[in-house]
Amino acid sequence: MLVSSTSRIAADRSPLASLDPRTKILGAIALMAMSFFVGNLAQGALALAMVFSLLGLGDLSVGRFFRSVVPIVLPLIVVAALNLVVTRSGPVIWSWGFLSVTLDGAATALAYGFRVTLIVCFGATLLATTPAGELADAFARLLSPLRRLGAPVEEWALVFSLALRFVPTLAGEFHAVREAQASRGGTIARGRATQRLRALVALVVPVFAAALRHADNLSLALDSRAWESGGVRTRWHPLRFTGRDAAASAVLVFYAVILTALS
Amino acid sequence: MDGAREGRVPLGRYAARVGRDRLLATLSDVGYSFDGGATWALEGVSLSVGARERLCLMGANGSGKSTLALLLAALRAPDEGTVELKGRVCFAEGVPEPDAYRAARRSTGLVFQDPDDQIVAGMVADDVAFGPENLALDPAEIGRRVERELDRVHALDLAPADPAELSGGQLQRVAIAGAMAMEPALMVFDEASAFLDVRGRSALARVRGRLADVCAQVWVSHAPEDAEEADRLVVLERGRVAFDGPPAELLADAPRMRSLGLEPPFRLRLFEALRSRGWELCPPGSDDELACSIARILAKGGGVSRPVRASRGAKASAPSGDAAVFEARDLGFSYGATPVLAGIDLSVRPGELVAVVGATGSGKSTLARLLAGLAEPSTGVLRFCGADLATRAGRRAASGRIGFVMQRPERQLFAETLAKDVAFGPENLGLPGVEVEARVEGALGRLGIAELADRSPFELSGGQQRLAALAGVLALDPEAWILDEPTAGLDAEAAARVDALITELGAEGRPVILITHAMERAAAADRVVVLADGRVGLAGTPAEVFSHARELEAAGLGLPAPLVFARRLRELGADVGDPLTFEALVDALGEVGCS
Repeated sequence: MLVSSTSRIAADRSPLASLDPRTKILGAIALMAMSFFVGNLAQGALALAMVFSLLGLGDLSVGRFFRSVVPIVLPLIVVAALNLVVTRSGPVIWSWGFLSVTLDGAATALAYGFRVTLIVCFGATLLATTPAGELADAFARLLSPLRRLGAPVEEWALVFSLALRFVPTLAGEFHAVREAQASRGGTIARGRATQRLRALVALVVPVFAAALRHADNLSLALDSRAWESGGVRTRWHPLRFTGRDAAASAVLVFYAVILTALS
Repeated sequence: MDGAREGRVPLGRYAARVGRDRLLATLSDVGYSFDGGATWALEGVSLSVGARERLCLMGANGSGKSTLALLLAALRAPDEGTVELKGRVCFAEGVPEPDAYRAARRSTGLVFQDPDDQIVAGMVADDVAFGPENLALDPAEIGRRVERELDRVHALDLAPADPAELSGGQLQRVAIAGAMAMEPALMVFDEASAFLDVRGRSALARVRGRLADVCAQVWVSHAPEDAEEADRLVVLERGRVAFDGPPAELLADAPRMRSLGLEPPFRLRLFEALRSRGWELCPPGSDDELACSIARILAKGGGVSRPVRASRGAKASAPSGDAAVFEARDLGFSYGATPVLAGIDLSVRPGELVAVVGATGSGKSTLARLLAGLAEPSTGVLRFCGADLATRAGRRAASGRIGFVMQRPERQLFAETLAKDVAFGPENLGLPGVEVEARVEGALGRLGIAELADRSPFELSGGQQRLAALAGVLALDPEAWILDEPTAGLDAEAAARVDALITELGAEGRPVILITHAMERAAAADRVVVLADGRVGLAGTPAEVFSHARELEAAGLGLPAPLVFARRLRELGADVGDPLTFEALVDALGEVGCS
């Protein structure tokens, strides 16, 4: 029965999700770094092919994935677009008053925008296929050499995963308190400066109190679950590199070789 | 522990009966203070818990129940007395023994009120594994325990789920599995079902039943039903043990229960009311016993019953000429593409009390936010006194005129003193200083907390905080009220004050929309609206709505206790009709006509 249910969970996971999270973190970093070297159309096509294969292997819905990426990419694209007007070299292809766009500028803006989009996509794929807990575990393992220097790496990992877990909870409480105070006429959106300040206090204090209450309860919960700072603990699913991880690494090396050959 | 101290501290008849070796926890003359000895949250508490024992811990808000629960769960050390857990002395002569506490924590599980705070992982199965991992168990053993405990709480299908997507009831079951996976000898539940709906509560009660042969249990609770199922009841009063004995003893003594700040169980209140009307009854040990005695007396012609028919006693819907305060037509709300509410028709007239009931996730809280003008409807019409709440201008016009009390409103308290907190609303309305003061005084006085005006809201008990938050809304003098579970987690006294306020508001002609899980409260409303999956499942007078028992059950809801009791009487051959409230049931049973 045990085997059936845990393997059922494992079977539900996509090829990408079942990779060791350390492989995914290092792989994502490598892919992000390599994105800086994408400089021509062939390389661009290869990188795009990589993005879409990862989406396929990660069993991610393309539409939903790009919708989640857009809010992060858009401001970066705006920054990239600045290249259009600040680059002065090369033939001018469009001008309006003191603004002029050169061919070099357009090329740089395009390359910047494309690279930034690639980097965000690789990062988002990592986050979409790796639960926060695994991510924290993997970071703890990757940083474990620091433990010899006295750094509480395990604690960092727990704090990181707990912080991620409590973001939605605290956000929910923030909204609830904001609405409750708004229904008492307290809003920071309008009114005299002193009233707005008071409304801000009426919002910040309860949210702060909520954070403290959660922290208090959480410390009780951790104590009652026998979690001890620096204590010996085991893992239900110890991180283990498998053949899949080796295959993934080989694919990455192959990608790097082709990318270089296309330059 | 040396013999001299054992001799000095009496452990009570219970410990003597069970024998020391089978005790999991023994507290002797324990004191606990949050402020270095100025006041005592617990004082002179002696208590022991035996193996496999089911102990219910009750008491008014602020009586020290939760603190005692933490001491039993080895999560806090006292300031005075001795604590022995799992056969080892953990605290004696003012000194805690960290190793003994550590060992005790490993064999004690805790589940508390807020399920959110006890889930540490991003996946259910991983969360259950967290404790066993900390015990440094073998991975195969961890897997066995995860599977076994998720199965025990009937949550195996939730194993791969993200806790953020679960209901409160599901989360509490996961939390129980997580604690049980450490194979504790003692499980402590601190008001674990206070905020669950009917379905969540009954699931939790079933799970606790399955733990009966596995470990000892301590339930901190306000519900007499919990006391009834326990082997032993302990009641705290201002930090001291005021009762320690078999539940049946206290549950048959209504005056004593009330003096301890507890709500007597339904059958005891009924027994009391009937006896005062001349019925010759013996103190009942169960609902069924009381029903049988009543049926017997009625059969002998000893009592006169006046059956309540569905049409009688229930207020007919208000005359349609009266202008509606709230008017919703085909109201809908969606988060992104996910519909939360759809096709809601509702009109609320002055002075009407409308109860909104429904299981967790049925859209009750969203409806409350819409009616309070805090969210923009996605579809349909919503008006408050003519103001169109679908527009920003309309919501602004209604601002300050609709009193909104969110779930656990004590969480919105922020100021240095209670008076300043209550003044926040009136000040925002731009009222002159004298008027603000008068409103603050009036609101605090009306809720009976005037003497707390200069205290910090953060040092009050949970019940006092709730009343303080209500005072903050009352000071706005709103024309209409929307309350989301205003009595959840309150003791009998504080809950009675809140109920009294709601009745008064109605008498003043202010409409009240009450969101509740308590069917008895809904039964006392003028109208009941049942939400199921974001739509109005049933709506009408309480008599109409509660005649649809099957539909209510499908929506995860129950029936009011008086109605359940009346149906049992009918099965026993005594027809008293369909009374929905306690008073209606007593009236229906009538006076005994014998001399």
